[in-house]
Amino acid sequence: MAFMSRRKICKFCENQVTRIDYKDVRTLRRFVTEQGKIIPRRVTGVCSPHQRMLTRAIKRARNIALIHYTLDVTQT
Amino acid sequence: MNYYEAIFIVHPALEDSVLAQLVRETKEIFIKRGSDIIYDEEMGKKRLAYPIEKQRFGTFYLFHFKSDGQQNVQINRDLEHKDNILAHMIVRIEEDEVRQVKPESEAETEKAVAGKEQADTVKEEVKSAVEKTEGESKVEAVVEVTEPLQSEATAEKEEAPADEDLPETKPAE
Repeated sequence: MAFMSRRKICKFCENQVTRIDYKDVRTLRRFVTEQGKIIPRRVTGVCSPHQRMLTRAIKRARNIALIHYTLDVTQT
Repeated sequence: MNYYEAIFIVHPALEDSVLAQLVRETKEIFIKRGSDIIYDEEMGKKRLAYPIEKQRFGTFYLFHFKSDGQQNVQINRDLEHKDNILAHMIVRIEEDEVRQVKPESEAETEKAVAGKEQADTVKEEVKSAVEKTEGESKVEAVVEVTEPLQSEATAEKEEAPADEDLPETKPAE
């Protein structure tokens, strides 16, 4: 079957992550668009408990200027 | 008693002595408000994702402390009023997340071990690459082994200086 959908597996469940650190910018970047939006879990395949942890971490990281809120075009 | 993590960004252009003084004063704020600082770390100078008070860089500091949480509002206010602190945040953490201060010698040996492991993996990678390309001479292979190591070392060093080419950063009054 050509269009069989692949089952997405939560990356965090795979690695048995229990906490997502807001200081871990490299991980958080993968779940944020270039514009700074949080990518929905229907796209990334993250499970809902982990998505909740992830959103919290992303919002904290934004607060302390580790990742951007939005891409400001004027700031190059 | 709960455990908390405080992270704050200090103005990037402060002199070492001023910076040390500021950190000391900040610690005093926490102690004055009845919290116990368990762990402190300088996370180094980083590029900010967006400018704060017109600064594009900042030195990050991390404290782990124990307190009943009643005074955190006050701590927040004190930090807010402190000059040269661009931003701060206090979040609650669980007990097992609290980092312990390591004796310096131990931390250094750990660093050395990590560095060695990295070097080994690089060597292995290069080895496999060499095996694939049979046509290459041995001399070239040796060059390859040394080069990634050097570039890695310099890359690590250059992370800090890269921050320094920040133009017109004046310490706030």
